[in-house]
This record gives sequence, structure tokens and C-alpha cells, in this order.
Amino acid sequence: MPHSLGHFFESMANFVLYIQADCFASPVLDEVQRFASAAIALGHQIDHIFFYQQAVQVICPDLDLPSDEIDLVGRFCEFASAANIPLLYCATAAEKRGFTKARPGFTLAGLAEFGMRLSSADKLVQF
Amino acid sequence: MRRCVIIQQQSAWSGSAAREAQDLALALAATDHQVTLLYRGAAVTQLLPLSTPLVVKDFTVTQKLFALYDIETVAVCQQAMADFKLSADQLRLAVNMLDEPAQRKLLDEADFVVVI
Repeated sequence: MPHSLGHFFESMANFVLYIQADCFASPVLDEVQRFASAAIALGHQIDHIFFYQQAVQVICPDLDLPSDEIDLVGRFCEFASAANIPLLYCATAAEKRGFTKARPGFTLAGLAEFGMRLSSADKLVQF
Repeated sequence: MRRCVIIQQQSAWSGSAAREAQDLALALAATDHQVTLLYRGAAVTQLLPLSTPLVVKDFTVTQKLFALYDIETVAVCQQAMADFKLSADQLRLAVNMLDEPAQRKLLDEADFVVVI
């Protein structure tokens, strides 16, 4: 992936990653993490990662995973924290799905904040 | 200001996708982006007047606010309109009917595209 990203974006770009796919028991978060790692390795910046639609379930603090399952969300949060990437989620989408408390590492935002932050972005990548 | 295209693909009856796509379009327009809403596939039926009310809150009435929010263009896929045997005068809003090359041009010229 680093090679192909370098080919498409020759100069440094400011990325926003937009996630709407269901993150539960799917490799989406791993894909996002690999994309973000590759982009950073090539000198690009990840402005923030925004969770919308069904993806907001990622904030649920009450997950109780069986011991033989990988905690993708935990791993993802550690990565984002180390890389200093804000993890934002749509408050309205979360509340409508019953998620009123967020796991540490996720920050409540609105669609308007997402819109304002897009003004300084070069690339929006959807997962 | 960025040129944003939000592609609607779901009907109003397919979960929350249509409503959340519309909310996103309104929020981007309210934050000064140049927004085009493109309805493809079953999503073109969102623009029809409802003959029976939705069981959930009818978000489609908010389409009347698109102009107020300065949503630049409402476009529909020509093929989808044909598939559903619809004509533009049946829809609640004035729309641009786009064939595949015109849709490709729209996407080529956009800064950001979100498909919902």
C-alpha cells in the first residue's frame, strides 16, 4: 500500500477518513489502521477519523469480547492515540442507536464539525 | 469551500441510510460547501410525493429546504429513472437528469464524494 499511495499523492496531503461501515466483527478498523499507517509513513497527515451511520457502534464502552477474539477497537484506539489522530463520532447517529456513553478515545462531534473540518482537507477516503 | 457530491443509493424505506445521507448533505451545505446530491438506483423514489406516510418520521419533507440550504444541484440518474418508469415532472423537486458520462464528469470535478 505505501507504494501505491505514494504514486497517487506525490505531495503531502491532509486526509480525512470517513467510516460508515459496520465495524463489529469485520476487518474495517484494521483496513483503516493500515491505510492511516501507510499514509503517515509517506509523510501525509490524517486530520481526523469520523464515524457515522452504523460505524458509530465502535464507541460502545460495554463490549465484552470472548477471549479468543481480537479487540480491534482497543488496538485501533491505541494506534490513533499514538499517532495523535482525533477519533470523532456523530452524536446524533450514536444517540439514535442507543449509544449514550463513549469508550475513552472517542470524541463527540456533529455533522457540522465534520463539515467545517473538511474545509482544510485535501482528500476524503470512505470506508 | 469544497465541491462535495453525496450519492444516495437507498430508498426511504431501507433503514436509516437515506435520512442520514440527507442530513450529511444539509450539514455540508450549511458549512459552506458546494453540495450536489445525486440519487441513483432506488434512491430516486425518495423524491416522489408519498402516497402513504412513512411509519418513521418523514424526513423527505426536508427536501423543501434544499434550496434554502444552498444545495447547489439535485441530480438523478437517468437510467434509474427509466428503471423505475419515472419522469422528472413526477418528482417533488426540479432535478438535473444525468446520463452515465455526465455523472462521471460530476464525480471527476468533485473534491469529495460520499456514497451512502
